[in-house]
Amino acid sequence: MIKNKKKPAQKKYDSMPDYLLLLLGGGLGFAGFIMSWPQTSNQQLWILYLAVFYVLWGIVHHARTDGLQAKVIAEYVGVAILLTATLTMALQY
Amino acid sequence: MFYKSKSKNVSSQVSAAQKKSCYHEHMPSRLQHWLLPHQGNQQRPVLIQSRGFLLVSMIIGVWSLVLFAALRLPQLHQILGYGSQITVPQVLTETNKQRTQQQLPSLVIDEKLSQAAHAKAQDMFAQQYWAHTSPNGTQPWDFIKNSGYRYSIAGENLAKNFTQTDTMMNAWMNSPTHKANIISPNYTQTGIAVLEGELNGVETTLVVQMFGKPEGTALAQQNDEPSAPTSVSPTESTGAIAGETDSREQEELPAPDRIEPTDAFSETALHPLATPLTLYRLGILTVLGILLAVLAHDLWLAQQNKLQRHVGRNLAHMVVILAVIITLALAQTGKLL
Repeated sequence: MIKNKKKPAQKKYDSMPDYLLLLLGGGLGFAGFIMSWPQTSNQQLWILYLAVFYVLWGIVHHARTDGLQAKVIAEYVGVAILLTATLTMALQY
Repeated sequence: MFYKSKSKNVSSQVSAAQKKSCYHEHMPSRLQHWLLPHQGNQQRPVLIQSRGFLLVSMIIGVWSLVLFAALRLPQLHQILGYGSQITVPQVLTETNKQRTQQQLPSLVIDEKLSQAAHAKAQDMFAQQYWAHTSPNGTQPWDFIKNSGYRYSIAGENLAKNFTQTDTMMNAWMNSPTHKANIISPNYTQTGIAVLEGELNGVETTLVVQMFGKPEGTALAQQNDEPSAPTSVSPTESTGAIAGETDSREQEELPAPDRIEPTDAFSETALHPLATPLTLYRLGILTVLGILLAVLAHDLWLAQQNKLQRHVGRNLAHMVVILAVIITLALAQTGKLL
């Protein structure tokens, strides 16, 4: 009798810590941006932090879960540019 | 770490997704391509691909440029601008509230300092600048000297585009150099002007607050003995000026002209219906709202159809965009100098 040798199920990566880190790191950045008002130069530094943090978060998260692809990184860069453009333009008013 | 996407894997799941989303059939194919996942866009709406995000960023840039251009149209001056509810008594009250908290004596309004503040605000509108030093090199203390006020130390705080006095005072108190002027034990008098006018094509409210201590009275800190003339130029980042003590120079100055003092030195011209930031928010919220909806719909469809895709995390993108929306909603108008 041949026993069906089951392939051990691949442990699913728990994304919760990553999302927690995103909330904490992102929360810090947005709080810093709001609290730095009206020091525009400080606010610009917080925008830079947020953009870099988000791209790095995306890279690390995907590297640990389903692998990195250029188009995925480009997507995070796209969101980071969107974030930078939106908040920087708001500073002009 | 990098690998190519398995397009076969994706396309095999397309039919299931398309069957379920029959309501998409009535949508023009071009719009589908941008807003809905399907075979042609590798199960990822173009709007939430990297190029989609870049396009939205460009739209935001263009919207901002259009807004800046529109603000310069005279027809819009009744609609857009920074109408203010700031008044001179309110600024004085808020200033003294801050000083009382520091157990410092209250400042009293000096008519000459108020004339100087008024003249400075008028000069900024007349010469269309936003700085401590005018384009022709006039320093803040030149306005003070021209008003006939003789000081042992003086300072200046500027603000524009604030709509409420308490918001403006919070901003000043959040800026170390402006705060230093407000709670300086060296000052005993102040002069305030709140003027509305057009600055670089935009309806604007300017607030000028001059601080001073009359000549001949001792300073509270190191400047107890005003001896040699000391002049510290204001920089754009400091928002404050130190005084100078050259009485001979002041005696030679002509009497102030073109200064017409009013009772409160507060003039109200227009009260626009919306600030430019409000209009900016409106446009941005519309665009980001669409983006959020597309991301949420895509997330839902992917979960319904159990699509295996190598794309960015919709949930993460949504969190960031939502945070941007909240930040924009909380953002306040107003600039300091």
